[in-house]
Amino acid sequence: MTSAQPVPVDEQRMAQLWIRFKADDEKAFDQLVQARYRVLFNYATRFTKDRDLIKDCIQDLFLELWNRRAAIVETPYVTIYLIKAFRNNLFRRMRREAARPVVTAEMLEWETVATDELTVDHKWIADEMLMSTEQSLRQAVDQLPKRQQEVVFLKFYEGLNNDDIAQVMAVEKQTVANFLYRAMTQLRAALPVRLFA
Amino acid sequence: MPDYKTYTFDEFILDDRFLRWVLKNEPADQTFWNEWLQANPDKVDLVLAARQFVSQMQQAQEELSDEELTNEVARIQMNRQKVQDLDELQPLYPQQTPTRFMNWARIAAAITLIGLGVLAFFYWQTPNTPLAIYQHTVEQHAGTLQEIHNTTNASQLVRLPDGSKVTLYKGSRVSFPRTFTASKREVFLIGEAFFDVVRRPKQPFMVFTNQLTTQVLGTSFTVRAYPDDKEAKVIVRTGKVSVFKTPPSGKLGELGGNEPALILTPNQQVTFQTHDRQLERSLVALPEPVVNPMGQPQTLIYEHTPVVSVFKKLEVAYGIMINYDADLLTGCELTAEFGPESLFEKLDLICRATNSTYEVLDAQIVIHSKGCR
Repeated sequence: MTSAQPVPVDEQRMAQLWIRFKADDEKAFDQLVQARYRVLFNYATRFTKDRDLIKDCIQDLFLELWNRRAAIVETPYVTIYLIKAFRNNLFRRMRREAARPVVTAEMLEWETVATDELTVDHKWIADEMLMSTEQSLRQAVDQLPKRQQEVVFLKFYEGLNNDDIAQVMAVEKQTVANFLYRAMTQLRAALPVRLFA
Repeated sequence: MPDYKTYTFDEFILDDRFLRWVLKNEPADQTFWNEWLQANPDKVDLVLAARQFVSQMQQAQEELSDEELTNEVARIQMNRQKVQDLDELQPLYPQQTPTRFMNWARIAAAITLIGLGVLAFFYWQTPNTPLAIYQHTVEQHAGTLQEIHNTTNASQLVRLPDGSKVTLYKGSRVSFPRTFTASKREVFLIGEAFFDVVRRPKQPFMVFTNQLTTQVLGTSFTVRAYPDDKEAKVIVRTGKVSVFKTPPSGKLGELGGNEPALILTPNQQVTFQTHDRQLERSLVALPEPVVNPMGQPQTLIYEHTPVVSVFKKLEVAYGIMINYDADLLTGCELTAEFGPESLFEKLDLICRATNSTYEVLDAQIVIHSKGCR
């Protein structure tokens, strides 16, 4: 895995935990779970609202890592590794659980095409006055096409750079920039000006 | 290094170094941005607006309550140990990871289908309001229920089996088992009550009402849920609670599908409007100091005190986040004497003295200042 940025201190800590848990250190493993559970959970809510499915999927990922700890690679980019592995598992799982009301990777592609050009629903711009900033942001992000939501999450929740996001989503770096540009345009249209100045 | 002087709002919020500062708060980035802001005071407003946007974006994408995180991390830990024990028995097959109750749910679904005819027969007896579900499940797990109905004309103090205290307002009713189970303390409330909960991290305390469920570890708070009111409220006095909507049917105490829990800290309240079923978090009308709650209001005298340290004291005293730009406020001093004024009166005074204004935004206070230099 490559990254132009220096590895942040927090990631260095993750990498140390990773090495220790590969060497059978249970405490390090539990600490890693604690430290990275949130980002994986919140990331998954961009794809499915089924919280139990998400929880199972995260548990499976971590237990699989624990079971295969001797075999897995050493990496300085633990968070990105986890997000990538989790993304694969989650999509596979969602496809398998197709009977459940979830969004699959195929539907994501389809939905992107279908909704990317849609303009924002202006009705809730008026409602916004009554909502807290957090709620209006939450709603505005929810209105974005799924792939844009994913980019927005990786960018503004985890602070990944565009190279890493491109890698996680298996798209070109330029595509990430386009998604971000479109997401910001739509957010600006949907949110009050005061948030942007 | 990019020329940040020419950066626009959008360029800032998409900049990696900027994002790392806001989201990860690493020391190196803190130093960099503090120095940069000092060198470019005309950019402070822009940078702070961008900073606020990013942290609000991060918060808006937070879907997991602290309680849930704790539970799930514990579950993984437990299952890791189980897998390990299993491993030692059958060293070759690690694939069999335990799942939640999903498989059970499927089997249960099949049984439900088969049993549907039978169930239809019993339909009228099955519990179908949150209170009925509560009575049903608690009687199954914890045994006999006790209900206290305050028919007096004053508040009534009720002691729960775990030593927690409930101040039950007149006309209100509270139900609880004679003994709590080892894993949960579950109480059902109709009306209004103030709870002072004994801290037991391993035995969460839950208050159900028809609309809202409040979960705590140990803290004090008020729940207001009169049957005929258009809104329900939870008001936090001390500690931390999470509040979510009570599902109209089904299992109590489980979070609904896409309904995030709201975390409340002291002097915050959540209001549930019956008509649109929305949860809204705000500050209470009259925030009270969280420390030194018994004693008389302290008199504090400030003489040429940096206003930032006054804000810090207020933050601690009221347990409320105050957002301000520390760099900009360097040089702002306060000379004042604070007695029993309310928090908002104090803020008015400080703002007048320091050429600032404040607003309450999503249960936090934001100070806007032009600086004093």
